[in-house]
Amino acid sequence: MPLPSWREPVDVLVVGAGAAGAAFTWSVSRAGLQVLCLEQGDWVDPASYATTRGDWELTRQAEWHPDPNVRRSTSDYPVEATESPITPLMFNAVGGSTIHWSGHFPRFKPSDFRVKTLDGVADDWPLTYEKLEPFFDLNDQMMGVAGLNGDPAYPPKSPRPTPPIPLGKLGETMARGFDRLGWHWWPSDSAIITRPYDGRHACNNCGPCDWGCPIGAKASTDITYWPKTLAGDARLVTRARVREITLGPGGLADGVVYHDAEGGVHEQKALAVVLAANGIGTPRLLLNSRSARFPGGLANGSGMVGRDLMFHPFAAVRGYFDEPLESFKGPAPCAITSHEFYETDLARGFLRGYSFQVVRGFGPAVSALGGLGERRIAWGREHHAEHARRWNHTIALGVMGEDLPEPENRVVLDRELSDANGIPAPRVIYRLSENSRRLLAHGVDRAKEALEAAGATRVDSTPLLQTAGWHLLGTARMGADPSTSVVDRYGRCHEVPNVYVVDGSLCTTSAGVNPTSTIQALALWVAHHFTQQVRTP
Amino acid sequence: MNEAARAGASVFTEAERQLLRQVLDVLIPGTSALPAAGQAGAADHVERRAETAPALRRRLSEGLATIAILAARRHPDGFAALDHGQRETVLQSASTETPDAFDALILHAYSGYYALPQVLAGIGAPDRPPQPLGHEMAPLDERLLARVRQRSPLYRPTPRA
Repeated sequence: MPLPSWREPVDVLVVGAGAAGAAFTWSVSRAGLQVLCLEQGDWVDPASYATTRGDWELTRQAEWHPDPNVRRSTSDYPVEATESPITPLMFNAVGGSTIHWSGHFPRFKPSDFRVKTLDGVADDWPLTYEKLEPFFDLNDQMMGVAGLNGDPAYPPKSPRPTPPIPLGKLGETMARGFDRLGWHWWPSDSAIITRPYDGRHACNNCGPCDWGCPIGAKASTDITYWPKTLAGDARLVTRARVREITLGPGGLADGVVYHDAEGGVHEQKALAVVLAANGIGTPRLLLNSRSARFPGGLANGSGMVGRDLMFHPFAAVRGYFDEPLESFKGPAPCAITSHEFYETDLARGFLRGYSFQVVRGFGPAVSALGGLGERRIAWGREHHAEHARRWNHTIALGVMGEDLPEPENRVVLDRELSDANGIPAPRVIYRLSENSRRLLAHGVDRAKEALEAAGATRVDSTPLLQTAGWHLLGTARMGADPSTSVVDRYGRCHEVPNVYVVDGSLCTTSAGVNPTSTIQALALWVAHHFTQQVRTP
Repeated sequence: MNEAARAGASVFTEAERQLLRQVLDVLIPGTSALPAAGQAGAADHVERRAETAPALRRRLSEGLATIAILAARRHPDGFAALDHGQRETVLQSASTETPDAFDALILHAYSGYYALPQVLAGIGAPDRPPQPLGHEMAPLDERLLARVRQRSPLYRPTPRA
């Protein structure tokens, strides 16, 4: 295909404008480097979010569905996932998946970075919680967080930017259940502001955060990092889908080839290429960047690109209560968490652990269609009675387990499926490990116990939620050994030292909590050291 | 010209529209407190969605055609002439004969029904979308955390790297 002439080279080219790409670009652009970010999606107008409309619930089943294979937007690419019991989810736009995420904002814990040392499995990260802590704090300030200090499940943290989200009747009911059992609970650290902050409105407890937040209380990087970044010299080009990273003489990357929205193909030169395309998009791009030097994909001499894919295996346990719970009030996915079973206890029969997430209720339509793993309510004469038992009477406890890295769980390129630009689609191959199976079974039993202690009159469960592939981790992982990892402690590819990874791909292990806070802190860590390196070569 | 317009005049024929309303009344019947879906106007919602999605329109038309055929086998005057139990039987058969179409019908029937103000009021839900008003909530009462605060650290100590 014909290629236009070279554009002016930039210092840094970032692929992806989501959680990590935004944080990295903001940080590096402040250092005076010329940064260009290419994003395959577009800006999403917050005024278009459906929660101001009467039919808001339906959109999550169609154009706002978290699965790109269902949503099929022009910004999306297909993901072949028939060999995975967990469906990968993502959103392609400026802001990436922070547009439709829930805003859970826990940090990984100190032990999560030392899994090999503590438990003899997986690997230690080549950095520690303590090293990352200043970047957690910086990111909390940038995103805006609601939370409360004093949680005994964490080392002391810096002051939370805004007070914790309200518990509501539902959260207080569940807290009483945990109290009766003597278990830990704490209000969720959430990337949702409860007071006006940084020019943004406070949360008004409308409920469905994952439909997009039209008032800007939920942090998404299109309203946090990007406005500040674009006020400077950084540039962002949307509807630009990167096809491959090109290799120059000397074994260094020298730019990318990308497609624009009109079908044009461009080459863009850069001194460094930074990947922030998520745990599936990043290995896809590396694997599709083949050359004589790297026939199996860029930076993949070790064969590790795409391997060690980790999700967070997730079980949903639901308790049904006689009393109405006002479950439609408050940030739906974030109420309280419990880390009672987070750290390893060998007596439980598995390694590592999990967190509980207390999820508020869904709207009336989604409750009828099946909320968190529930069966759809049957049509016919019993419909109303079952709907009345569910809607506003359900607490769902999510069991979010740590997934250990296994090389056979991986992302490869599909031989037949491709996107609208003819770029091979990623194929996800994933098997739930025996450790994860035992962990989830333990979590389901404990969740039932907690719900009953809270007063549930009926409890049921989904042992493994299929539509739970929110977190895409580990496929270009960080490590000290180039034969077992893709990038070093500074996110730099062992084999191509001017290519960096800053998204969830670089996670050495997955921890048992939502990863976005940690991913963004890692992006800021990488950016900090990248800038230092440029200043003092 | 949009695709719906290219595909033909109105979204559903009058016969389809009438059948849709009758089917919705069986899917979500009325109670003393709540209206049946067809009578309440859920069909309008289904039709509006079909109007903007030609593939959905074709799928729903296929489902309605299947229901009409199955009903005609039981009574020459079709679905309208069947009693409630017979209508349920027809819909059960339709759900297995054209499952995709039936799934789409359920999705849009439920979504449409639970967007109707009179239904939302009937179940005690706010009869407005979540935004822009949101909901008033009391802030966290930190006294609730007194027990948890007294616990020893739960996080595992790590050796120096």
